[in-house]
Amino acid sequence: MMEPNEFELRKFVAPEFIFGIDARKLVGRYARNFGARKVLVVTDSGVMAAGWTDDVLATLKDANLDYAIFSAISSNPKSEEVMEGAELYRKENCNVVVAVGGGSPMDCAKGIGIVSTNRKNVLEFEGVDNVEFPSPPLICVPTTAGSSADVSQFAIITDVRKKNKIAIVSKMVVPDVALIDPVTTTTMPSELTACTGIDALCHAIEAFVSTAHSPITDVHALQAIHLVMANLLPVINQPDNIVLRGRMMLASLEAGLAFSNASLGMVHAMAHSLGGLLDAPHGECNAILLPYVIAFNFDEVPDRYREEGKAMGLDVSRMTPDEVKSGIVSALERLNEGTGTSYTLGRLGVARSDIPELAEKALNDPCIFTNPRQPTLEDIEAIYEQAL
Amino acid sequence: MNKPSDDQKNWSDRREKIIGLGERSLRKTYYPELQQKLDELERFRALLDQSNDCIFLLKVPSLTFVDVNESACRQLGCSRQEFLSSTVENLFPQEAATRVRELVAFGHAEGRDQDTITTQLYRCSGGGLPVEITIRLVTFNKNVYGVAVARDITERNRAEKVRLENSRMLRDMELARQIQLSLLPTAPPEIPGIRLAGCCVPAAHVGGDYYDYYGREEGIVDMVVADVSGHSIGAALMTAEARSVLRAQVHAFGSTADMLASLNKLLYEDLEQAELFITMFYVKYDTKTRILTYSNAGHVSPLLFRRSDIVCRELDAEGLILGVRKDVNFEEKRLQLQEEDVLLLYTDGITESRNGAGELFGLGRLCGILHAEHSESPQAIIEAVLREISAFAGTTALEDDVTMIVMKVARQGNQ
Repeated sequence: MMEPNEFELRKFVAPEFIFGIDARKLVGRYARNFGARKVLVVTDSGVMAAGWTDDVLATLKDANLDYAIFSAISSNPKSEEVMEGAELYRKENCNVVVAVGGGSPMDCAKGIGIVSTNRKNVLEFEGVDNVEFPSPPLICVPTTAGSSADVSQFAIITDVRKKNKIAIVSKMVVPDVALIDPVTTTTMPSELTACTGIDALCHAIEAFVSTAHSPITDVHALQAIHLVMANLLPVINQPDNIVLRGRMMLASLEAGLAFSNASLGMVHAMAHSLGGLLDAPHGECNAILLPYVIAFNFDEVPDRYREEGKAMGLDVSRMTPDEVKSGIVSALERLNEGTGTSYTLGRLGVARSDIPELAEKALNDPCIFTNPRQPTLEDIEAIYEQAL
Repeated sequence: MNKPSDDQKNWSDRREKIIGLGERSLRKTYYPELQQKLDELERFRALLDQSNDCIFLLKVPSLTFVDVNESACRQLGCSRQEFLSSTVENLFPQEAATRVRELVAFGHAEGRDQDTITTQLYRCSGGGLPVEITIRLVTFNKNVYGVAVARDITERNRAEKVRLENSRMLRDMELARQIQLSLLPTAPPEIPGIRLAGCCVPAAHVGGDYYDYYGREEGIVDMVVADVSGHSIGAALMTAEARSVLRAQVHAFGSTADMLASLNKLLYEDLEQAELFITMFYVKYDTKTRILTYSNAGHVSPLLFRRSDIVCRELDAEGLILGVRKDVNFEEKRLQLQEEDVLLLYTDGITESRNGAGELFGLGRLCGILHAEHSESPQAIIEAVLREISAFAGTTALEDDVTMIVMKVARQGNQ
C-alpha cells in the first residue's frame, strides 16, 4: 500500500565511484584526467604508516604529476587544520585534491577544497547549502569502512574555540570520484574496525527512519544494515579476510549513499555535540547512543523499525511492536558487547554537568531536522542521562 | 585469422571499457577546460598588465571600479583594493567624472558609445597624472560596463609646450625684426657736398642694429650708428625709444658729446630696467667747413679712407656704452675732412663675420675694400662690402646684422 507521502520530491546525489580491489591505484589516472598540475594529498600519519599513502603517491608519479602532502590532521579535524591545509594548497599552487584516509582526512580535504575556491574561513560554511563555489576536483580513497565521507555531502569540522562540531552540508563538497578499495581496510586495528563498522550501521539505521528517506536510499540502507550485522563480528575475528573486508566496505558505501541523501537523525546530532565538547571518538559515541535513540523514536515509525529488524536478521513476523523494539535494542547491545564498544558516556568522560550544553548544541545540529520524532531539549537531556 | 587468445583479450578489453575502467572514462567535468581558460586568462591579464596605459573596468551605472590593470596601480600609486572601493569621482576631477556620467546617462540615446577626455587622474600618493582617457561602453552578458584606457601625456604636454614657446619666440623675433626695419630711414637726405648711402641687413637672429641721418639747416648733417644688445622685442622697443629721443633732441645740441650724454641720461633707467645696453657712434658733419665732429659710446671705430693714405684711419673717442652709468662725459673730437674722403660707419657684424675655418673677417679686409673701391659711389662701396662678406663666410645667411653708412666728400666744385 502506498504511503500518502511516498512520492514526495527527493533528490539523489552520488559521486562517480569505483569499488573493488586495487581501486586506489587509479588515482594517478583520475588526477590526470581532471587536468591536475599539482596535487595536494591530504592524509594522516596512521594511514601513511600503513603504506596506503605511498601507494597513491606512486600512481601520481606514474602519471608524472607533482604533489604536496598535508598530513597534520587530528581525528575530528579542526578548522585551523583545514585553513593550514588550504594555505599549503595555495602556496604550492595545487589544482586538485586527493584524500587518502578515514573520515578525518576526507572531511579536512573537503574543507580545504571549498576554502580554496571561496576564500572564506571554513567555519563560515556551517549549515546547509552555504557553499557558493564547488571545490576543485576531489578524489577520495577511503581507508576505513564507516565514515563514507567519500560519497557524502557532509563535512564535519571542529570549531575548537566554541568546542563545537559544525556540519557543512552541501552538494559542493561531494567528491568528484571515490576510489573505494577494500584492501586499504585490512590494516585497520580491531577497535577501529569495530567503531567504523558501528558508524556505518548507525548511518544506515538513521537514514532508513529519516523523514527525508526515499525508495532509493531505503534499498541501500537496508542492504547496509544486513551487511554490517552479518559481517562485523566475523571480520573482527578474521581481519585479513578480504571478502569480509569487502562486504564491510560495501556496507559502508551503501550506508553512505543512503545517509548522504536521506540525512541522519538524533544519534548523529548528539554524537557531534559530544565530539565537539570532548573530542570523543565518533564511532563510540554513536554505538553508545544508538539503542537509547531507537527506544525514543520507535513509536513514531514502528513499521520502519520492523523492516530494519528484519534486515538485521530478526524474525519479526510474529513480534508485537514492543518486541521488535526490544529485539533491535538487544541485538545492538549484543553487537556492542561483541565488538567491545559497550561503554557508557561516563566512561568517555562525560559529566552530568556537561549535559545541558551538549543538549543545547545537539538541538541545533542539522542532523536533528530529519529525526522521525521531534525532540525537546528535555528529551535530549534525558537520553544523555540514560547513556551516562 | 585472430588467435582465440586475441579474441578473448579484445572481448575483455571492451567489457572493461563498458564497465567504465577505460583510460579516458570519466564523468562529465568542465574542470580541465576551465583550467585551460584560466591559463589563457592569466596570459591575457599579463598582457594587459604589461601595457603602459592604465586600463579600468567600470560598472555601469554606479561607475565603481571592478577591475584595473597593474599599470594603473603602479602609475597612480594605488592598490587594487583602493580602486575596487572607489568610484570615478574618487579618481577623476569633477569635470571629467561628469562627462563620464553624461556618456553613461545620455550616450545611448544620442547614439554614441565613447568619449575622449583630456584630464588629470588623482594619484593615491597625491598629485595628478595628466592623461588622455578614452572611455567606451561595452556590454558583457547583458551588463553594461565602461572600459577606460588612460594614457600618460606628460611627455606629450611637455613637447607641446616647447613647441608653443618656440613658435611664440619666433613670432616675437619676427615682430622685433619688423619694428627694427620700420625704424630705419628709407633714403639718405640729399645734401650738397656729400654723397650718402646706408644699409642694414638683418641676420636670421635679429639684432638691434640701427642707423639714421638727420639733415640740419646750413649744410650740416648728423649721422648715428648703434647696436642694442639682445635680440628681442625689448631690444627693438629700446631702439625705437632711442630713435625718438634722438629725433627730438637732434636740433637742441650742437655738440655730439652733449648729445650722447643727454641721450644716456634719458635712456639710462629704461636700459637698466630692461638690462640692455647700446653702443653708439655719433657724428656731425658741416659740409661748408668740412669739419667732422664725433663722439663714441663704446661702439666700433668708424673708418676714414683718404686717397693720399695707404691705410685706413680709425676714428676713436673716449666714452662709455649707454646704460652703464647715468652720468657720463663723452669726448668730442674734430677732424678736417678733404675732398673724396670716404667715411664708413658700421657695426661689428661686419668685422666679426666668420668663415668656415672660424677666421674673423676683420678690419684688414674691410679696409682693403675701401682701398679698392674708394672711387666708387657710396652705394657701390656698400654693395662691395656685402658681396665680400658673403664670399668670405661662404653663405648668404649672416650671423649678425650688418649695418653701414658710407659718406663720401664731394670734389671741389662738384656737388
